[in-house]
Amino acid sequence: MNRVGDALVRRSDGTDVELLFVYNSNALATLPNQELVERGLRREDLFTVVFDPVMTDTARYADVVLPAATFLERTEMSRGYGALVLQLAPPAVEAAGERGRTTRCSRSSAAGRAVARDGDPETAEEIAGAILGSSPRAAELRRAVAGSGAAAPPEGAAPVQFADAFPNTPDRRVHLVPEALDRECPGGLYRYAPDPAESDRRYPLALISPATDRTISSTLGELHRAQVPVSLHPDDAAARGIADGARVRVFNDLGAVRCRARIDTQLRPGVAFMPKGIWSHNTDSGTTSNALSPDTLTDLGGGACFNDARVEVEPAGAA
Amino acid sequence: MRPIRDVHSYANPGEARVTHAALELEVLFDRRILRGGVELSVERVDPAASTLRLDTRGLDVAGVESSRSSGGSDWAPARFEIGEADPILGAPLTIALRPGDDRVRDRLRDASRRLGPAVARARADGGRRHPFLFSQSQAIHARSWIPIQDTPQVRITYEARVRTPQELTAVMSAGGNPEGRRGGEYRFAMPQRIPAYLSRSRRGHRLRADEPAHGRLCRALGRRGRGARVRGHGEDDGGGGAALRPYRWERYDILVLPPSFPFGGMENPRLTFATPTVLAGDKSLVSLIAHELAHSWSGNLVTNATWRDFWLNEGFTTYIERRLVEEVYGRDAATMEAVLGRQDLEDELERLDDPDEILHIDLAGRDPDDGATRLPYEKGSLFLRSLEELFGRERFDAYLRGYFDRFAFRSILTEDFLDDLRANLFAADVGRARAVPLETWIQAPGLPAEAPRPRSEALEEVARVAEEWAAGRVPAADVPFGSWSTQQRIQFLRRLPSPLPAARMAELDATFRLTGSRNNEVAFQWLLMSLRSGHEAAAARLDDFLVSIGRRKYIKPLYEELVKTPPGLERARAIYARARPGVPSHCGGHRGPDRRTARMSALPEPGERHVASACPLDCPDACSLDVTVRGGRVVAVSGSRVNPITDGYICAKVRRLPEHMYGPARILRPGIRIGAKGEGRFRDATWDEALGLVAARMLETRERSGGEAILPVSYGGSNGYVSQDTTDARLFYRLGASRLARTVCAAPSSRAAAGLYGKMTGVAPQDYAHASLIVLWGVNPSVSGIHLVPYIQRAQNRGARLVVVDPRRTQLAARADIHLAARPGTDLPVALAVHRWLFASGRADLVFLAAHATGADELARRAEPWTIARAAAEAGIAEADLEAFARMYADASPAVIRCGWGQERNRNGGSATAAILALPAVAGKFGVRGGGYTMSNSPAWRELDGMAAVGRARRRRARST
Repeated sequence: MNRVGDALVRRSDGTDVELLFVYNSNALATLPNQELVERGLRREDLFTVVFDPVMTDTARYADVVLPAATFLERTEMSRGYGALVLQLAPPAVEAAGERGRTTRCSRSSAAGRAVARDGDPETAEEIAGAILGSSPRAAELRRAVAGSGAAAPPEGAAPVQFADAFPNTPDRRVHLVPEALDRECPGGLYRYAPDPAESDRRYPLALISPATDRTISSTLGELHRAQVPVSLHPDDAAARGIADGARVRVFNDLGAVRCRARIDTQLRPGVAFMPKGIWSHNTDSGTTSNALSPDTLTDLGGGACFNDARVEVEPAGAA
Repeated sequence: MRPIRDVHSYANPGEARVTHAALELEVLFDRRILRGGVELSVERVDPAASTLRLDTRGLDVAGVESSRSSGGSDWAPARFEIGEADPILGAPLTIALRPGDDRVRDRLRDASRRLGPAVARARADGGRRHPFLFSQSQAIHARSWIPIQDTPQVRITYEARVRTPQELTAVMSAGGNPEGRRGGEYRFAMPQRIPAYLSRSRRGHRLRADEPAHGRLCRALGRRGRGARVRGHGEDDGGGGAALRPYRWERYDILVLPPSFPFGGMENPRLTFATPTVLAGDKSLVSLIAHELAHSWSGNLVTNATWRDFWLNEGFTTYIERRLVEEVYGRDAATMEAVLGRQDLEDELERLDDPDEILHIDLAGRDPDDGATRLPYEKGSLFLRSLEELFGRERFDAYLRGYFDRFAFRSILTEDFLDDLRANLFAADVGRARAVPLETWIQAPGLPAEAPRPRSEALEEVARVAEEWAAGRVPAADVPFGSWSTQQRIQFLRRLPSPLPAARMAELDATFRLTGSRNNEVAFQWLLMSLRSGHEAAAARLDDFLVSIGRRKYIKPLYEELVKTPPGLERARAIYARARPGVPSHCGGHRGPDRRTARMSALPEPGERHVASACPLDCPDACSLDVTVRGGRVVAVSGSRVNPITDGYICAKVRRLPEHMYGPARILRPGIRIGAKGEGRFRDATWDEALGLVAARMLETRERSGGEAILPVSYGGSNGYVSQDTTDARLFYRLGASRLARTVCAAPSSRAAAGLYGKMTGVAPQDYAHASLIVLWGVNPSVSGIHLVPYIQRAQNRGARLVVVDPRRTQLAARADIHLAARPGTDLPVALAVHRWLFASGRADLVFLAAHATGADELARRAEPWTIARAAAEAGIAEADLEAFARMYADASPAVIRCGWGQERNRNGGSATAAILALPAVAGKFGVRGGGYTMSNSPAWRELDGMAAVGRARRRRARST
């Protein structure tokens, strides 16, 4: 996923992607190596479908856009990944206009029919019901979500670790240096790889892109219209002749972002900050911090290395 | 002056700055039109400036001309452009300046359509024959009636010529206000420089009541007549006035508006607008006038340069207001105000999200009115009070006097104030200055522990009496209600149990004649109680009150109480229908003190329903929601209590869901591309056509190149079970499409949690309240997963320690005991150094490790190279801090680590997360409530299997087709 750009452009895995179906995601705003993803989306021989409630940056590249329902317009079942609670919610309103439901895509299309089977759960209600039904305590869960509105997991809503909740490893023990991880990590688990800037001193600033209180990842970005600056420590700004509010260019070998600079004493020197999840309308160049994020992968799990972005910043207008 | 970046203005005062405005306006009440134009004098701050940028919102600019003031050049049409409109900020009006030109003039075609936001609609009021109209420009509404550099850093002088119909009077907060003239033409001039938000006008029938009211309030302040003598010109006596000398606006009038005026007051220079509800008949509610008067200094003389700095206006003003009250009514009265103020602040803190609890609030991308809560008023005032207490009144007053002198007629930033404070108050007493938690006051949510807690014996006595009466030990006749001040009466009523039995309500009413009270504060409190207790005798008074009075501070809570029962809802509708003509059309510029209670849109309408829902968006909290639906549309989303951690409030993000659903970006119907890729141009299509096309291309692609040429991309737009990995996965699986590794987030931490613990369920947010040490590592709950914050706060209030590992000094880092600002990517050595320290210092829990873990020796071996010194150097943090953290972690129990995702997004992310998650095992932190770690808690639901539920049973068959 972190190499979608690569898959779309370089086809390095040997398979040409000819049809891209984007849903529940604003890929252009959220994936690393944004300029490569953008090049892929511009490919004339790629057929792109985007299924989304709003016109995202990605949707602008679609050959076909399909309107998706928001979660208030269909049945949804949610569980937190912090709060230990499961909730089932009916639609609050009808999907207005000609909106479809998430499931409509698979149900109504010829492609969907081509692979459909009798008895498949189809509607959001059926799906939610089937998922609840997959639990051995389905009846208990159904009663809880229909009653108080919320159900707790088997270990309870606030389990104590090693009293109510235990490791789910095969031997129920903690594995401090698990063999599988040790094999997966280049050089072994807990081996430290030094800062990328040490091998390439052209880009000395570490660009981080944490969440902000504006968007949820990139969701709701269409409502966040303000220009988003890159924040710099006063020392880093001064060393580059950059004043608060100045237009700057943030760049590395992967791409560039043109935006305003903000001087931020809350940063440590050597670190620049630009939030994740912003959209093209938030910067002068239409690119975001993702354009500067490498598509290298983490030591475990093939994760994205957003915070390994190393950049230089210069006043806009400089060569 | 240096230009300041103001996120709420498009203006370019750093290049070309407006210095003077001449307005020409005509009011046509019958057509509800405000018509005219504005001529602006421009100073080229940058001699090379070639454009002037103004703010507008909803203005229809018919034409722009420019000329130069010297040399008598003629007016010539200027090139101008109106940019894309933002719903909050409006649109920039960019005017090309010819070389040498320093005047521009805009003609407005017709502002009538736009009277809404800034100008309450023309209407007759209070049974009078004539309509009236007033403007309200704070915070950024001046731009909705004149094109202007609408940022408080730009101060201008202005003059105006206003034409009204016969019989109607125009007044402005400026010189030249007419005395008794009616109709025709009025001229005004404001020679002192003010920001645009203070440009105010009111046109219509002038109330005869204003003169006596004004005199009365001035006398209440102990002075006669015009405000030049109200404060400061008299002999100073060391009271609040001492800090305020001199008054610089020549004249001070109060215009008492009709009862429908929705705010308490508005501090226009020279001419305060005020609600008549302040006239209690007993001088008791004079604090509001003291507040508006104090604005003549803080706010109007020294102005916040941006709306982030709003607390400089309101915190100072509230502080001075209390000092004025103290001077006029004595210390007890002022202390009572301060106690009630702190009560209000604590109530507000309960309601606000963390970022909104910060004095120097971040309002980027938001409506500046969002910042106008009680917080800047009361927290700002408490901060100044704490300085007064620490440095002594004499020195603090001397400082304040200097402050107003140094910054007179200037707009300043919070940073300017802090620099000034350090230079002129702190420098002389470094010892005391060190005791001021300045950062915490200015940059952190909540209140510092050192915040003053004003105590009023008088109010405590009232609370005791209330308790006695409620317990039936004292009859109402023995309660000295009649001799109490308004503040004591309010406190008495607030402290009574609610609801009260009918007989007890009747006893209070008969004894104190509460239903007939002309004191609006008391009447309001009583009517609220009457509603809760079903006290029928007050019903008619409630109707009258709601119909005649528009002050939102009163009417919003009453309506809210009323609509809690179905008959009450009917009654609310009936009253509202009668009162509606008296409620200003939605007034964007809510005044601060009343603003929180100021949403007329919250009134229930016929057909309104509430639906319980739950938020599935990508966040740990999974809030339970209360969704308000009207006319088939979602009109509001707020928090419920089904999920206990939601606790009735949600983040500001999800509160905007109705805009997401019905905003201009919403895709309403299928579209087929007609423009170039990326251009975003589509033609409408039917579902059948669009789906037919997609399906045909899918089957074609599979036929030609195999299913793997199809790539589905999805991730986390909604984390709901129905949104992802159900029928979508089935469809793409059966098509044989390429599979996407969903690794953009949480892949490394998930691998680590699986490898070490098999994804053991973690500590729930609510148990953080039990911790003695909380470690936030790579996570910022102030902005995502905000419901953890109150539990952290609760733990801290109990004395728990907080450690934050984050390269940024986040709000929580600012109030942490230790902040480790490790360089990005160095979390691994930091965690390994703690392991090494634990093993080396004999603090590893060998008993736990022997019983429950494998690999401890190997971990210790791999941590061995990472001494505290080496890790600290690699991470760029202080050795002492890292060692202090290791020691604190070893010592504290329960200790919990909230591990986030910041530490995983780098080359070492998986190992770093594993090393962090290994800490509670090595240090032996499990087995107690509030101890252990939290990573992702999704795996607690491993019993549910979406894929199995919707398709796995058919998977094998699918493969064979």
